[in-house]
Amino acid sequence: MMRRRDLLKAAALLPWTRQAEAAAAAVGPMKITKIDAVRFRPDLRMQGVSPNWTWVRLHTDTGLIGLGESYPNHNANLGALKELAPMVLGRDPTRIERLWQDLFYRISYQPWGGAETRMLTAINIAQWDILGKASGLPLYKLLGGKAQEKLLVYNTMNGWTINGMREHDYPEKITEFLLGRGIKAIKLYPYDRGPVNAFARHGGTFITQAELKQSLDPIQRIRKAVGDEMEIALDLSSKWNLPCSLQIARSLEPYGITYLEDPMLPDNLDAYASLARETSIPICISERLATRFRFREMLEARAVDVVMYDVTWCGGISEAKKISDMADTYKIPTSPHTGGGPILWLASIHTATSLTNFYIMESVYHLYNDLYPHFLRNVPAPVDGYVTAPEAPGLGIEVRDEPFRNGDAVVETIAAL
Amino acid sequence: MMTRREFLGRAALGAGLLPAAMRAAIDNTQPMKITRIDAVTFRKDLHVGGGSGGSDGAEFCWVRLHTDSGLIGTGETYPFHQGEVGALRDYAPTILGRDPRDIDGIWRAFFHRMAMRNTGGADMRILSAVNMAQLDILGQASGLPLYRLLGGKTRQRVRVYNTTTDYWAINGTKMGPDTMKIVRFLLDRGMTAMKIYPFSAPDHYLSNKALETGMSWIREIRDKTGNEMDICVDLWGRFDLPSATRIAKALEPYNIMYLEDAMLMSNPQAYARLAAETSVPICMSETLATRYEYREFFEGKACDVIMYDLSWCGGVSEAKKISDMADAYFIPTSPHTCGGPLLYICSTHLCTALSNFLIMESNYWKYTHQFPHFVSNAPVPENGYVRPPDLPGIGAGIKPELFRNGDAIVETVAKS
Repeated sequence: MMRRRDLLKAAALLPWTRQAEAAAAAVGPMKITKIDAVRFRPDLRMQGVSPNWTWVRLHTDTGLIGLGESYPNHNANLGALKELAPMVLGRDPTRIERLWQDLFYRISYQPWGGAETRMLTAINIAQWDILGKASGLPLYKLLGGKAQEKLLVYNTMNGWTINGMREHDYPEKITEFLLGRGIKAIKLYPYDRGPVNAFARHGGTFITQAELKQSLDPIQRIRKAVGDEMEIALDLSSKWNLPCSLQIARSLEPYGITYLEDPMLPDNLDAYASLARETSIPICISERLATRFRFREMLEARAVDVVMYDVTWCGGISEAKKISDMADTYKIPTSPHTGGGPILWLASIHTATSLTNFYIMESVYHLYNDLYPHFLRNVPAPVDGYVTAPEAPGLGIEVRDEPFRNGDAVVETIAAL
Repeated sequence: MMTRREFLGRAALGAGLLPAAMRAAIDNTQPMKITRIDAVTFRKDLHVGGGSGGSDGAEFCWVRLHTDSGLIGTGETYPFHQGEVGALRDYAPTILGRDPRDIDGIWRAFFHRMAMRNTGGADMRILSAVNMAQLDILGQASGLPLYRLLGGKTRQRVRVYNTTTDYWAINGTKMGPDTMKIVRFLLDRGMTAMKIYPFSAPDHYLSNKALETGMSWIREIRDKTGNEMDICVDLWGRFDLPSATRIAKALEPYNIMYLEDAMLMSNPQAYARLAAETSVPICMSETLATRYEYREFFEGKACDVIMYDLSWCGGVSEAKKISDMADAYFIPTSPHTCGGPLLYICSTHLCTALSNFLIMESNYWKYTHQFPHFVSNAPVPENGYVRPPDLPGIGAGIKPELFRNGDAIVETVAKS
């Protein structure tokens, strides 16, 4: 008879779904006995930013507790969790596929998506955390092991700052700061933030030639300061129509752009296919899409070059892995969205470590440096522009006790056996 | 100079187009502001009684928009209150202080906010309810029934079928043992169409035995009443493509009105394969929302009839847009109405106006037992047809006693 350790070792050689099954078989049956929502005081501010996520805690009769997350910290999410809880309580958390399918079919009686899908996602992440802890393996090993030793990251600016600096005011200084830390890629928002903000002027329906040129300012300044040392990605926040997207893409073509993300809402992939045909800039979409079903359409439409998803929105870790594996058959790589909470950051690191078709991952200096450490003891920070998955079982996080003692964390038991 | 009444009369009659009729109503009303938003839920132990009924209470909730004009609009959605009311709290700042007549503007702001994190779910349902309440206000302000704002009377009355399930049963009867009792009951009342659920399987593959059991219901109806009864078959999105195809093929000789929701709505191409494979009209689906999602099915040649639930799909204005788009493909509409009373009444208004209408859902238990507990004007089919109330707005006649006897629980979500 194989010992548990041997079984797990043997399992590490299997494809990822079979590995998860083998781990589940090795840990034996268990039951979800209690479901908590953990939120944080709404008035809590860390350098002006509030922790805008909800944690879902699954307790089991083994004593193991799994942690999942989604965001924002919405009333709808909490309400949806209350509605889904009776379908989760008493179930075996290691039956990850079965529970996902049951919940998804249930929420598919109505147009699915929104709050219910976000909570399905958080539950899925907590299940993986439990499976990892029960089997003694870090999550990335359950997902197929190290396809990547370390993950290349870019820094997203958006509304966040670095030492008080915003992207449009100090592009050279921010570039210098990031390069000094070995981070050689950045994502910018010149079209709906900063002094030009063409979106605010026309609501995404039009962009003038002058605005097209002025919006290039931070890009030109970075190129002028450091040449091609810095990779530059751009996010358009899905605010534009097709002709504006096309004009913006064409104006960016001389600047060696890593990718152009979310120019339009992703609900017409033929429009994306038209855009992709007309421009040489790689197109990336979208954390706004959830489940393999939506990404399948995107891939078949030949509409984009890079897949982005948010592991805490798209259906969870299971779904993220399926989406990436499907994208791989199109030679399309993955660039996960991580601008949310700390579990999103960790779950994305584990998932991306296991991907053969990884591209580059989002990171936000302000979040991993200023915000997450208030909640976790061991936040992975990029070293020389790369981040590495932790080796502890499950998500591998150590949650700080302080927020649970000082009233920052608000725990609400949603359901219990 | 035209009087206001003449102007409205002309606008509603002259314009077959939605924007013109609605625009005229907006232009002839005074600016107003949403000053308060209420969530109305119903007590959990509410027992409506009267025959068998699924929840026996209210699975729906209402949204009330109060305005500084004194007008109050009511919208509705279902079935997960806690998520929906939570979403209402989250989105209240998008609505409060706005002019409720800004139908498309508020819709767009709402939709773009939710689109950040994948649309749908509780967020989409509450948008639908808010949209319904806005149109209720616009109707009241302009003095016009909802169907007038949606294009006027394209038909005098709306044909309905009866959705027949065990939990919303007709006097406790069950399909299978009581099939012919049910069919005769409906035919005797002039109801000549029904929707049934003959097929079920533990997983997504249907065995030959389960296929035969389901087919026996349909054969019995055809053998005993010929083509008197039109039959719709609903599969609740539970099957895989091969099972869906086998069911469709087996149904072909029986003149089925449509086969609804054979698979999950997550793949228009799979539906296109099914539609190409069978002569049975394919209908889908109240599980879709917004014109953006339906467009793919039209372009993919994936359906013959569309169904939506206007308290889920983005609201009354979105439902109208979806139907108008479908009309360009000669695809008719068959709305889902097995929710609350406002859904049923609003659907009757909309079906009165649609140019591409097929048949509307109705449910005996709901309009006989459930709806009358909450509203006075839920239409009861006469000879298989319903008519919308000729009152301003939705004209549901919400019962005031609900708010006095403790059945309704009103929570003010936001206030200016």
